Amino acid sequence: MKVLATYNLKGGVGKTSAAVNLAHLAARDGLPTLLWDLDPQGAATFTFRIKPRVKGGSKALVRRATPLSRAIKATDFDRLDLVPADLSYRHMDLHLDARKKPVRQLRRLLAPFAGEYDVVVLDCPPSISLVSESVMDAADLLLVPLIPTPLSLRTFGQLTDFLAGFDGRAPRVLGFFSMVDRRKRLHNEAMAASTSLAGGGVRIASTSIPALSIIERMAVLRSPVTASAPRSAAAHCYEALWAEVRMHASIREDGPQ
Amino acid sequence: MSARAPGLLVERGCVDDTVLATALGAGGFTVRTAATRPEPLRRSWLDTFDWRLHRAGLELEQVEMNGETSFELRSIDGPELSVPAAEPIDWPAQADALPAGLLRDRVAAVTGIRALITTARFEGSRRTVRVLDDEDKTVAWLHVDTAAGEGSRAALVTVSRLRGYDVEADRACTLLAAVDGVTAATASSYEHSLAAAGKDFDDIHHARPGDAVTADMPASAAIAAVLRTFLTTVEANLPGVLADVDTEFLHDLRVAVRRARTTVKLAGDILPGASSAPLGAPPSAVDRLARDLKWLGDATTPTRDLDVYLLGLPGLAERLRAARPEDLDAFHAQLAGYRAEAFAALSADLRSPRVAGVVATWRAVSSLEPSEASPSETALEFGAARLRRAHRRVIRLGSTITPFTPAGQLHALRKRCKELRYLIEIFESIEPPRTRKRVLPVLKGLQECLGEFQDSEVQAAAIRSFAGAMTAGTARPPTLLAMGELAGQLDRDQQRARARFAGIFAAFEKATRDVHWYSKARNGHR
Repeated sequence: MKVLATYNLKGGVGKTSAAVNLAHLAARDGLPTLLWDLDPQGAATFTFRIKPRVKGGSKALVRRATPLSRAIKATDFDRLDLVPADLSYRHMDLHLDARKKPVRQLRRLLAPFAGEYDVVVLDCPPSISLVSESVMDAADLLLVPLIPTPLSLRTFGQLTDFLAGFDGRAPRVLGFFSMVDRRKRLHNEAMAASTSLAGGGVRIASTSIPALSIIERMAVLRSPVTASAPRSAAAHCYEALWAEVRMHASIREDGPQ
Repeated sequence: MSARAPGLLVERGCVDDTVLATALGAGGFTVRTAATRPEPLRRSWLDTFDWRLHRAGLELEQVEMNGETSFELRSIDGPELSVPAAEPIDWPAQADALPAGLLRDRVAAVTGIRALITTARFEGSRRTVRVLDDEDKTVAWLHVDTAAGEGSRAALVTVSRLRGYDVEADRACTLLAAVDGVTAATASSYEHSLAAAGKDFDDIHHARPGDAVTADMPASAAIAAVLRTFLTTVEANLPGVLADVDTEFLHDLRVAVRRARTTVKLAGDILPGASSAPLGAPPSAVDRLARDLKWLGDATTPTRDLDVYLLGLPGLAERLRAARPEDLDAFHAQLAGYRAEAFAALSADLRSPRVAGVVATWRAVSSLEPSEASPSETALEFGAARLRRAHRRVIRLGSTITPFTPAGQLHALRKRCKELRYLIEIFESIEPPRTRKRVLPVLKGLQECLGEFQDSEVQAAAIRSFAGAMTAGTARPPTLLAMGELAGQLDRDQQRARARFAGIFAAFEKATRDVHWYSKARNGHR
């Protein structure tokens, strides 16, 4: 089982769009996939038309009073299941902190599903918190969408510095440019300058996701764009990104290696 | 993993989309048909001849719909597995014909060496309807299956659950069951299709011979009933043998023949007309049956022996130390060639008119009903006497065996042990449980030791014979060396079994020394 996590301290950069589309593509490729919407906003949950509710909330999940298996809902797509968001996730930090080894908790919650799912995708809230650290400990690959601006790249650098000193199992990192507008010189310059960010376990994907209205319309159609418009430019970009993710996370056609 | 295990089934009724929408709308649901017209559907349920999957609580199905094929595995207490396949598989076949993955692994762990056969079929069309909540989320699927030729009337409506939406699926079931003209089914799609083919899960051909025997029934009727059980097993397995579906059909057929032979030998004298005929007179039916069973057993031996060698070869190859397992590939090919020849001869024998004659004689001999039988001796009295005799023969022969006794005596003892074992099985329904509990473990241990002793000798001799028969073209030195190593290991296995014999027999003798076979028979009641 490989755990992917979409993460960025900044909000509105395309984390959920990436999580939703990559999870759909994994399932489409025959890999049993679980998407966990950890963001109390519940955008991924909304996209899949699932009610944002977990019995007992975050506290029950973290304390194992509600088994994670009971929270799982099937989406409308074969082999793709979802753990819904819940408003109580806004307190998940507190619930994790009440446990021993709080940073390890998400990994432990997911471990029993190794025989059931080939891929887990964690859609993370935009924060730096115990939840984020627990995600980083659980993830094999951290996917970081970056809007190509100097401030965004600066934040990315802060993230990689943080991971360098991380007291946990640090994941590999794959940054990718998101909401790219090639008409903007600033975006082109930032993308050109990004090569210096790679090194060690950090890579920048060669695929970028353009700023396309069809991606924003996912919230209207309530479906991954790779399902609702598979021949669109946006879908092709996510397909290319998925191919890179598979390579970096060592996910082959016959499952993770 | 998305779960689509069948839920409540609804039987024959008129369930067009208007009816569904009205019924489910009362629960706050809407419906949407997944495709514009019904899709052609073929469902084939798969299991081994002896229902291994069903007995393990599993249901395996090949689904062909709209040009696509998938396999679905359901269990009583676990999630459903569904895997796509490139194309339908022609059954029967082994589990390794299934697409690689978790589903195949689960199935193969249960089916072992038995092939999967089609146990039930459904051909028709399917209309799939989505049940939606107020978010337009699918919370259940309805599969409306119509058998070919049934027009527009629905045959079966299956409510298929999605993970996490059990409450919604249950509510949909309840709403549908309340629709006029719709009734809740008590059987699954599988059971429904089995019933349509005149089968059910009780149709398992492994009736125990002792099931037909009661203490007070006439002994002759008991023996006839036991022989009928074995005949049923032979007739049930014969088609599978002829089609060469898997090795167990022949094995089970031979076991039934062997036990019938033993029954006739040890107890056939109680049957009507079994007395020895005068010299020159035609043989009695019982004598004819004994002769026929011997013929049938002998006819099946070469093929079964080769099956055993082929099945056991991988295990033997793993024991090689000096040679490599792949050095035996030529030997494997040789055995496979011999097996093909032996099976061709067996097939010809089994398709010959003689088999019909054997079956007719067998049926005639075993047709005696309790009401027609002489009441002179009950099954209990008869069984006790024969068991005492068989036990004495084992003890008498086994006590004479020393480290210097020729191997043939141990082989003869093995036969006596088998006879005792078969009699115990025939009369198991009327034996005291404490007797079985006392005798069977030590008897099994003795049989295993004698079996290893004889089988090792036979296999070693066979390997030497095969090596001699290999032509110069196929007799590569590595192959012959590997076969020699195997023969040497088997010789050592035989010697080890011989060394263990004395202690094992002593334990058997001690444990069964004062066994009373049906001691209450002496008092004339049970």
